[in-house]
Amino acid sequence: MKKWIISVAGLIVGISLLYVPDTAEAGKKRTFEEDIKQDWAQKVCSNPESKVPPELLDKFLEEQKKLIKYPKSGNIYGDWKRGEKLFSNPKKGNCYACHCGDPKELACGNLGPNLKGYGKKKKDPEYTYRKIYNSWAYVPCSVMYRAGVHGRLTPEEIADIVAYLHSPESPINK
Amino acid sequence: MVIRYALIALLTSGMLGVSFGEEIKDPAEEVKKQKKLLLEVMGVLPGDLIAEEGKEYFHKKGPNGKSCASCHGKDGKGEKMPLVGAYATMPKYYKDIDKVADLDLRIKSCMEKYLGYDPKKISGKAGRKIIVPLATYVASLSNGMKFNVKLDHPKEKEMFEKGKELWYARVGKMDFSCAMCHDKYGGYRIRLQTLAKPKESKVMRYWPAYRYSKDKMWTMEDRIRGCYKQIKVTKPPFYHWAHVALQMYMAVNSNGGVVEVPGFVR
Ligand code: HEC
Ligand code: HEC
Repeated sequence: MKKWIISVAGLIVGISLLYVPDTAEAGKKRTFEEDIKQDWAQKVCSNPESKVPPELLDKFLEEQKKLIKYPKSGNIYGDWKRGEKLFSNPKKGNCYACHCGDPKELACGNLGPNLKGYGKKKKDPEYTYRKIYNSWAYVPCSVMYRAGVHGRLTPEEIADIVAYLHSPESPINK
Repeated sequence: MVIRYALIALLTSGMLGVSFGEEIKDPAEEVKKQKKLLLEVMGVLPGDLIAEEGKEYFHKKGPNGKSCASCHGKDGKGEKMPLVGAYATMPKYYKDIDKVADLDLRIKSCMEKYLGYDPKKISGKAGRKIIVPLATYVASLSNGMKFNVKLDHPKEKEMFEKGKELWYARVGKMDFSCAMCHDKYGGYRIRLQTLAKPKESKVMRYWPAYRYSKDKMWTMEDRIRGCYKQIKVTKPPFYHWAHVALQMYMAVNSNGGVVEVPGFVR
């Protein structure tokens, strides 16, 4: 019975994750042509190796670092409970698409490293903030999207996710 | 017809639930199992019924009294312009429309140009109801033959280059490209979905395909639109050049693969 419930829940999550309408731009009709316009970094990454040519690497990293912005309050360590919701919400972080973390969450992908116990690894929360804001400032052309750069998560929302990943109370670190 | 669809939906949703249990199952095994189950219950695969439906359309008269069979012969086996083997060479440049066309666009062009269909009436959903079965049927006429797409015409080369560019282009708010999911991370899981490796599996050889998870027949244009939707990029409209370009790229990578349509996929 329990297995069956998990199965159905998994099914719903599994389907909804991949077919989420983008509500951010509701009203305005965008076109395919507009949406496939690339920024400089996307252009640089569009090669079979998905690598930045060595001669462009310094410029690339510098530009990506420049794009990172902080919350007005200056606080990069928000509320882990809010972070938990943002992390799993397919319309927001959608982090489970690629990362496992909370062992209770079974519908998780394996493109990215498992984040279980992340907070115990003594990483600097500021690194975590910056990584989520712009993953390409650390791993150029990573498959991990640049959540802050594209405005899919606000600085405050990213701060909440930082707390979710670092807090000892968070299910990630239990 | 309606009953058939309802039955399959019920059946597959029930079975699907099982596939999302705690342990992650081998997706290839899962597809085999679903196919076997459907065959046992229905005695026939839904994709084959849709190909049959396409065959009926193929022989049905359009607004100006002609049918596909008028030009291509009964069952596409005419003397002049047979369609046996045609799909295995598509996308291709066609002089009569001065365009490189994929299966969908070629069929739509024939319907407008030679059968007298009003372009406005068939460019949307109503058109898909006829074009998808027709595409399934026409593709199945190449079953058993090897994919053999050539880049002879300059416009074909151009389409291939555009398709390759789109395949690797990191785009949109998710910074994805086709290649990230289907080359670099092919075989990995995004949530519980295992990412396909379309180049390795010579994907064009088994599309159009019946998707049991949706109980729908999809052409490759539907598949491409689905993938763009997932990565939050506005879908290219049906018959857009991006479909032709991406399929040209995938078709060249499918060369040598034996056509087996309708395919059966998740
Ligand atoms: C499409 C896949 C994908 C998505 C979506 C994704 N990630 Fe990642 N993530 C990766 C990959 C791959 C890596 C390892 C390579 C790298 O660092 O870019 C990674 C690395 C990380 C790291 C660094 C781990 C370390 O030990 O330094 C953190 C933290 C992280 N992700 C958090 C998140 C959060 C939070 C989200 C959602 C807002 C998210 N990721 C969404 C794929 C993804
Ligand atoms: C975020 C990941 C992702 C991206 C990016 C993506 N796809 Fe997909 N693709 C999927 C998933 C998930 C499936 C379904 C896999 C399945 O049905 O088992 C799929 C299926 C396919 C298939 C069918 C494979 C088969 O064996 O039947 C093709 C072809 C395909 N995609 C082409 C593309 C193209 C072309 C692009 C770029 C426009 C693209 N994909 C971008 C996730 C993605």
